[in-house]
Amino acid sequence: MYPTDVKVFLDGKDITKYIFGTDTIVLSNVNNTWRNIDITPHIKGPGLHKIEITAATGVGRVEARVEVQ
Amino acid sequence: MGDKADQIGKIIKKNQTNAQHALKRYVPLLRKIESVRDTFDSDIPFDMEFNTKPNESIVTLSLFFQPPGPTTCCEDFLCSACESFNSGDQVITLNRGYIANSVSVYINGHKRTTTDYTETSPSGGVVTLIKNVTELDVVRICYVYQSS
Repeated sequence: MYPTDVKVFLDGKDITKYIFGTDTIVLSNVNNTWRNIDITPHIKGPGLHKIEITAATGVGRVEARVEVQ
Repeated sequence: MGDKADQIGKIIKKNQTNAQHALKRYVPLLRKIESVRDTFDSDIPFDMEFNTKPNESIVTLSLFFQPPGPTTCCEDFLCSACESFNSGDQVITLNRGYIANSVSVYINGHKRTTTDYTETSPSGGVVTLIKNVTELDVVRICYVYQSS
């Protein structure tokens, strides 16, 4: 069963809509890819930041890549 | 005429000085990449951490979702399983025995270190939590076992 109601949080703040354009997404059985999304506006200052990805049901696998420059 | 030439000369010299100063202050923008791959579900969210410094101004995120791995296990292979508990008990018996040193314990989604639990009986599938938990805590235990 693929993950449903997938949400993305940055430092505890829900940025799902910013990334996917919708409040929540259901992943399909094919690879779902989002590349080079500029999350700079959501970074509040320098320091340690945390990205969390949650699902309501199902199991998912994800590779998250953050580029900082 | 001589005064104007002097002024132009001074301006050129000042521009040259500014250009040299700017070149000295130039710092190439180095790209720093942090990448994590993991599975996630309703109990255990995916999480990763990254650091930003004051001189870093652009942060981009790429997400590559992939189909999850198989959830069933073939015979005579090593398999993994996870079970969740919210009984508040510190001594937990799993559905099957596990291979020693393969247990991972999560409490409320946070992975605990081996100092927080003991693999009391691998063959009996018993894990003992050293940290006190209540019925409000969700304990998730993942382990590897030999299928038969």
